[in-house]
Amino acid sequence: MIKIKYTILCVDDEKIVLDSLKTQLRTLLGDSYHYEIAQNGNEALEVVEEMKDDNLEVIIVISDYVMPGMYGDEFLIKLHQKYPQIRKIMLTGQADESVIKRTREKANLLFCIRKPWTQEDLARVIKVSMDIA
Amino acid sequence: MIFKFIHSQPISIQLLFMFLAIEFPAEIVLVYVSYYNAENILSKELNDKLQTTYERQSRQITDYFDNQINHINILVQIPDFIRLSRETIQDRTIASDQKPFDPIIKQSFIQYQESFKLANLMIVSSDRRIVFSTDFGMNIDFSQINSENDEIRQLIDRSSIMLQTEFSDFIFIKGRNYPTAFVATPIQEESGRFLGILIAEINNASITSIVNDYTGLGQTGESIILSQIEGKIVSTTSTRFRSLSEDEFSLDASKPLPVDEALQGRFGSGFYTDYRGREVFAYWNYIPALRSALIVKVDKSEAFASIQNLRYILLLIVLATLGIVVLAAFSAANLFSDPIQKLTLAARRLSEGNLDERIILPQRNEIGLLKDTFNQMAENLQKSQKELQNYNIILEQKVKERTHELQKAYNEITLINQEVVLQKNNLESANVQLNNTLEELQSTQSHLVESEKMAMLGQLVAGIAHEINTPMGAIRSSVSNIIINLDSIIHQLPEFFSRLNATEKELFLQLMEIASQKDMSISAREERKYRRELQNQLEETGISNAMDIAEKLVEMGIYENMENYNALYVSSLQKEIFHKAHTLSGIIRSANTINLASDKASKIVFALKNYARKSYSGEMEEHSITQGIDTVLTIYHNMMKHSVEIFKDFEFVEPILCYSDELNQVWTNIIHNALQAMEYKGVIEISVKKVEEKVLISFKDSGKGIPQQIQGEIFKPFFTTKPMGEGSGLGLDIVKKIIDKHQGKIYFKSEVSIGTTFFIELPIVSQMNTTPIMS
Repeated sequence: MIKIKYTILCVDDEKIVLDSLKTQLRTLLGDSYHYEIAQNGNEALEVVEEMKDDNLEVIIVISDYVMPGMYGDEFLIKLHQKYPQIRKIMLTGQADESVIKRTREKANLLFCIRKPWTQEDLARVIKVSMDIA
Repeated sequence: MIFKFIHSQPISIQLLFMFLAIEFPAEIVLVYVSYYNAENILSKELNDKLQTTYERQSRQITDYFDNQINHINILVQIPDFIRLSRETIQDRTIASDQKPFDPIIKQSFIQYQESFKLANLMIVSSDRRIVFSTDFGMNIDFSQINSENDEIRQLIDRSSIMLQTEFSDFIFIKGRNYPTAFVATPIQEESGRFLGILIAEINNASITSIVNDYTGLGQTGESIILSQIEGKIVSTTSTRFRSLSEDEFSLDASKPLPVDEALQGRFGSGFYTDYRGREVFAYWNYIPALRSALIVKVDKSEAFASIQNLRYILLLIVLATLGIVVLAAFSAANLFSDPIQKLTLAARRLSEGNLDERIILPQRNEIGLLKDTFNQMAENLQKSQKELQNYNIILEQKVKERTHELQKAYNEITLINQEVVLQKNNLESANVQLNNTLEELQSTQSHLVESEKMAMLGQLVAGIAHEINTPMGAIRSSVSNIIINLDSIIHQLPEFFSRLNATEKELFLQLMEIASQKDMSISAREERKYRRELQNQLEETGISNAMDIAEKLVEMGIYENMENYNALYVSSLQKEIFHKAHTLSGIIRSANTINLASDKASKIVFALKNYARKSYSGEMEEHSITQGIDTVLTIYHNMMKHSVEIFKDFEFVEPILCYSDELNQVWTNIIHNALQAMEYKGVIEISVKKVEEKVLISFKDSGKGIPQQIQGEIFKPFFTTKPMGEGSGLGLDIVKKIIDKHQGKIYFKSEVSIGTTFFIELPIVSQMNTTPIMS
């Protein structure tokens, strides 16, 4: 029987952020999840689509706000239209309240973590997101 | 068309049309059939009656003729008559003899004529001369048979040659105002000797009396005998409505009239218009004895009087049924429209606001249902009306409250307004003071330059904060990763190594060796590609946990020579080996991340430091132009990375003597203006070139351009196109002053909606030659 592995996808234009975030998530949650990274919104949308072929299912997306090409809110809204069940988290130093409010309304954004973030913040947000049915 | 018309009519008219459509055709058919039948029966009866009359009269006429022939046949055999004839003929052998007749002989002939009931009696000699006639009153010259009396001559010829009795056709003869016919028979002695011809005139009055018997022909019926004389069709007797004394009348023979038919020996019956111009029903046939036609006819008006009545009765029936249909239609319509009217009336009252309106109707059918629905609707309306009223009351209450609040706010605003007026007065006086200090301000230009720089910097702070926060976040998370991972693995390592065999140890260390050299610049996309390839490769060789191992190897930066680690894939400790290797190398990766992050952060800090650099000596120092531009671009990176592309075309130019912080302010101003003109979307091309003893720097943007009419204004102090609070209007003025201070030149060319290019020329001045070269 093919086993579906749950995946957490991180989207940021800074590779250093992605690398450290990935390591952090693995440290927090171990090998029972798969961790994937993408460097802009379009790449992320492709990745979510491709994952299915690898028997991976994206359940959480953590996205930056300012990225080349497509802003994080636009990406999350697009993602939400196609995958409303994926839980969305924003990790940013720049998005203002109106952007967050809009993304919350249109993409059901669950949390927004401010950069620089702490391990505790991330752990709490991920845990709560996973508990939400 | 007609349906459209019907649909727009009231129900009563529509029903009427419907009823009529059903009833009318049936009635028309019924009326037509009964009328047609009646007419048919009547025609047949009439035909029989007229035929009977024809047969009676035809027989009587034939009888009369037979009688006449019998009479004259008997007459010519009487010896005394033969003797009289012989004597008369002998007596008148000479044609010119005009002597009077012997009265005794004449009297004898008249006696014979009367006793044998002959109309006129004439004796013709064998040499064709009329020698005697009982009717000398006739105005005909009987002494000579001329062409005028052709018919009589032929008759005499026929009779004398055939020696038998012959008839003539009807002819007109002088002295007779009616057509007449003759019978001729030869007079022979007993010995057989031919003496002459006896000619008798047919008694027209006898025939007339036969045909003038109108028994069974009602008030308008009559019989007419018609003959063809000299090409004309002529009535031979007087008729009921026309006596023969009137002018002779002929009938138009060109039409196929009954008379033509009858004269050709055919009989028939039917309608035609007679000589009086009246429509008649007639029976016609031929009478051989007279060689004439007999038409028995009766006026249609009389014959079909009963039918006429039937017509009236039928019309009455049609009208009566129509009346009934109309009545039925209207009463049926009432049956429908009455409740509909009641509903309409009720609906109108309802729409006028009378919500108590209800309908009472006895109907239990569809209309009853409609009534119930209407009542239900009225009920609902009444309910919602009440709710609306309640809402209204609440709303009014709210409006009152709001009005009160507004009033309060208004009072406050009035107070504020008064203050504003006060402030305005203060401002006006301040303005006067400002005007006074403007000159002072201009003199303290260096101060202004500084504050403009700081203002620019202030605008950039948010973006710069992010630029620093990003590496800070990575550093912070990497540090905690290192701490946690190191803590978890460090105690397990000795024991773990003791469990590995020699090969495994060797390969483990190899893994660590390669992992520590991982290329950190590899993109996420490339990593994914490698991972897939590797996973497929491992799966093909049947290794368990292929995905997990592939993921870890790629993260560790191991993409090739995978077969080297075959011993590890199949090891009983496989899972642990890769987990440990990944965690341990993760510490190195985290450290590398920290390195990269701090590089990034220090780059920004360096840029900031460069930007804010102030020459405390107040003298020019040697600085690189391109480095200055890069500094500004680094600070602006965050604002531009989303949708601005930067193309740099930098030639190598040796550092020049300059006030570097002030030049940075020039680059900042120009780039900032460009970004605003293109609304942070598009392309900026920056080129730095050495031209003779000058550096030519150009900034080309794809912004909206500077309109022609303000191109002369942009270097003036306090000139700005930006909204209040966004720009001081000092930017380009300061830029100009800084370039002037460097003895350089600034100019631009701009096209609306294509973009603007700023050109700056700076003289190259080195420490060796402190005297600037003027361009």
